[in-house]
Amino acid sequence: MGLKKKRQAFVVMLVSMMLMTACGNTASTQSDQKEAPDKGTEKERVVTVYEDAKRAESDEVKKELADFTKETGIKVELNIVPGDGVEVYKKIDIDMISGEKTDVIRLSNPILIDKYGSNGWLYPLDELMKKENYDSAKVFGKYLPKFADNKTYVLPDQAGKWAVYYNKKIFDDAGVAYPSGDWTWDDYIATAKKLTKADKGIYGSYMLDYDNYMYMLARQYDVNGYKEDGTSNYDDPAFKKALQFFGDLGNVEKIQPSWLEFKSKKLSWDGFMSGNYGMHFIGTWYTNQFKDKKTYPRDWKVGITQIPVPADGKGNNNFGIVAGYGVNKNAAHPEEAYTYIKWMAENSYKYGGNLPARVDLNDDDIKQLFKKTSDELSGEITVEDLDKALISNDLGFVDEKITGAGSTEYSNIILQESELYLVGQKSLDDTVASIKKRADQAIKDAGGK
Amino acid sequence: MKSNGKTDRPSILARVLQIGYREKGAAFVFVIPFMIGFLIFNIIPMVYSVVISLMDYNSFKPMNMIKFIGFDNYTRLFHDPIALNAFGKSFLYALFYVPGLIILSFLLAILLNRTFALRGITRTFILMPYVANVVAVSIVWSILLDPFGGPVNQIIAKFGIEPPLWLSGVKTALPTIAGINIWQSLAFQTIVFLAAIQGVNKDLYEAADIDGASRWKRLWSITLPVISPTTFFLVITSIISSFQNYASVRMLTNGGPGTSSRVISLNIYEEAFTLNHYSYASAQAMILFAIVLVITIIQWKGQKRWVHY
Amino acid sequence: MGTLLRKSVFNIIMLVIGLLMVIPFIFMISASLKAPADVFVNPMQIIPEHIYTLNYETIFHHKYYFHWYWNSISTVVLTVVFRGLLVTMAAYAFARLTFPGKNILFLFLISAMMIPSDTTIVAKFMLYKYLGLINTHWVIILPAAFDVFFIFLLRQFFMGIPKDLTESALIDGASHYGIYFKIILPLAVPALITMGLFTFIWTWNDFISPFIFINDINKQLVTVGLEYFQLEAGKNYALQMAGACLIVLVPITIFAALQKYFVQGIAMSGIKG
Repeated sequence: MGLKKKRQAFVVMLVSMMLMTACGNTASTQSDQKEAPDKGTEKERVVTVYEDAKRAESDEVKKELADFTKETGIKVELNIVPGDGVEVYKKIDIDMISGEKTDVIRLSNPILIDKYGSNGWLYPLDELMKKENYDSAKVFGKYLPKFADNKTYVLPDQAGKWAVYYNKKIFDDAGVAYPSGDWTWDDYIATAKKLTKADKGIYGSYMLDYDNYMYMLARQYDVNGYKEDGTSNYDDPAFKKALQFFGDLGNVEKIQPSWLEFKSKKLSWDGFMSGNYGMHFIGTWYTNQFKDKKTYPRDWKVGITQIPVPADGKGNNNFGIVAGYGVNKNAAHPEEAYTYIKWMAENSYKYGGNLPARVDLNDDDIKQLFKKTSDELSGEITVEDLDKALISNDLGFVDEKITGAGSTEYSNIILQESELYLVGQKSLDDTVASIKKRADQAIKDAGGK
Repeated sequence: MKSNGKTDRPSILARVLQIGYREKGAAFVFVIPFMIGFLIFNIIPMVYSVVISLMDYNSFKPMNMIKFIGFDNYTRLFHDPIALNAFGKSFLYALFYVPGLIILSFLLAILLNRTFALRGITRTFILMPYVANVVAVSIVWSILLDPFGGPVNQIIAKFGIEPPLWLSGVKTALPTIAGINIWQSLAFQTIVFLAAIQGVNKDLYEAADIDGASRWKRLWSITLPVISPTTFFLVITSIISSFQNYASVRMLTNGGPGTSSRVISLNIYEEAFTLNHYSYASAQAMILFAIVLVITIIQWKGQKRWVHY
Repeated sequence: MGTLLRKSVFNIIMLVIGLLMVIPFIFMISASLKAPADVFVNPMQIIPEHIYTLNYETIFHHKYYFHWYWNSISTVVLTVVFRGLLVTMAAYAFARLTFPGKNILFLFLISAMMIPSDTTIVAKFMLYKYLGLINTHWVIILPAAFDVFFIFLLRQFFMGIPKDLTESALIDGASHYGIYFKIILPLAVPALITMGLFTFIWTWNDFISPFIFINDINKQLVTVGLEYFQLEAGKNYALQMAGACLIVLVPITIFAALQKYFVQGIAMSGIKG
């Protein structure tokens, strides 16, 4: 190897380095060209959709997408985002800002629906709906998300509720009768105590680390997270009581893993499937896990009953959230995207086992849905069980989450501060006071009052 | 800087080759490719971030709605207890991490420098944590340090000592993270120290032996001064890396319990990607940058006292 | 006799330290051979009651895993090559040549090293999008190639090479290119191996860049792949551990093969005195 040859190689390298800076523009035009043909050709209609990895791999979603393509002739291309729950929106946020063209975004809770809809990232659907005389108010009624400018940006595909799922084997082993519904939190705690067998690692109850667990009792009493003047309402005694109630379940009653245990053992959202817990208080989307015997092989049967209520009779409410689909403002295929989200909003309840967000369905439609769920669970849960737990009971319905100005931050503050109380590092009064103080600041920064 | 852009192709080549004989010219050729890439991939994003930090990009809205607001994001920082607390936590973390890492890696390097049976395999063992994936490492440590019947606490409890809460304790979370990170990054520092120690001129030790110096005396008056440039390098880089611990903190505690391990890198990331406070996050990043820069300059100026080239 | 005793005590101490360092790995392997539900049940039980191989089978039959693995390997190798060339050139200039503005430029470089890389990520995303790098492997390779850390490290090493070596070559009429290729690089081979190895590990384990900058699942790298596992089967730690064991396999093999060479090598070239 002569020195000359090496020199030449060196110079070639150098020149290519210089060129690389110039290459930037060429490369970006190339990628633009790649996207262009989709628009022009009429032959194959395509819609691109964000999905998280878990959903993208699930059989329901695969079947749902196949049926959609069969019915409409529109091909679906998934843009799969890794991450858990709301993690995926960190990436979608950045994509939006940089003008990414993926058409459809699934918005899994009201805080997200509000965030994307109110900040101008979604494509208004009103004209497309008008073109085909689609009356979204008639189909979705009270579940249709509303925005300040009176436009429609999101079509809801589910209006979940909450319920208590229980492990029949643990009830049988402890010789405890299955819960029959119509019960109070005191009953829940008493039942869970009978089921808890600390030496065998069995807890009577299981709850997660979501923000709304911290204030679920306050929501059941329908106490709002915001005052009339827009500031935080966390100084309402209901929130203090709610937090204490949740903390006591693990720390005092010891019917479920304490916060400390939950966090240090890294217990997960699907922990109930391990079979070590008697009851799980969670939203109805959870039903899907019981169908999936491949991921969660189990030798026990599951039951469902309605959520417990406070003993004073003033909080006889169930709660839940609306989730839905929106179309990216920069969507490459807005019309296909509209077709997609409309189809999903109308049909996805047939696949996932969630409650639909449609008000135009009659009782038979719902019964049919319950029948299908029941069949898929080989009758472990009957149609009557589902109906009684979710519909034919005397519970009212309230929103599960605190939504409004600065709600993402509000939710973070609640989690951070409540955690200090739950692990015994901060007194209850101090915790609630500092949530109120910090939330007020966050609401102010977010442009609320 | 001079440019030769107007001349013909062959003469560019010839000139570039010719330049290699002159020191300044050669330096230019050697440094320029790196500097161009460096500008594109480091400086432009940095400058852009400074620009963002002066805007009101603090909610999730399109770029065309964003205005310049000057230094508001910077003044806001001084009224934000969470951000100030996060800066404090980062300093505390550095206080655990940097001395721990430097001292342990130096000791380990001294031990590894001696000959012993199974030296190769032991050395490989010691270097192994460095290659492990941060996701895997944090899961394993969470299992080991589980305060509810985890193996470490089972052993501690046998000695009749009240076992700590480790990652779940308000006071212990930060030192525990520092410990885990020291465990993981020990290998790099140890190798560099080892190389430096092995490079110490043997004659120096022989001379000391003739003088009858003890082992500690040799370490103190020969090894430490001779390897001081390496130590300096390691101190500077480990201080810098102690402020960039986002991934491990995120995986181990996510800042908890409460805000007790919420270091500034985590705070910045959360501000930007969870709360969409891009401008405010950039302002915090700039302040962090300024602080680290000042620390480094102080060290640079102070090195004459203890670094011997 | 006394020295023999002391020697064996020392041997044992070193072995214990070594074992302490690898205990987490033993747990990792152990967990990967357990059924998912058993991972947290009795972590003290190193050898599982039943060896559970389904975790590994799941990975071997996985649609993308080896695809990700290959993506990671090719990306990492290219990163090592690009960084090796660019960084040694610049480090040589900073260590051995004098030119105007050298110290200021160098201080400028190391101060940029202090920018926490996550914080400029929004700006980076927009820039890379503009350059057409998003969703290609170049988005990992190119930014990593221009790394200041190793300029700092190699500069220290290059400064340790005796001046008379290069000065006599200059007198003999060699150009600085010749000195760089013929004298400095060969002497720095162990340092280069060190750099290559660490670059390999860092790029291999990087999570945030591929997560943010790469969209297509079949272009993804293996670390982000671990995250996909996590989501496909809930928080399946056993499966993740199996995935992690396979991920760590490549760097550990290389590490084990090269460690002797480069530990001794750094000393030879770097700070010879």
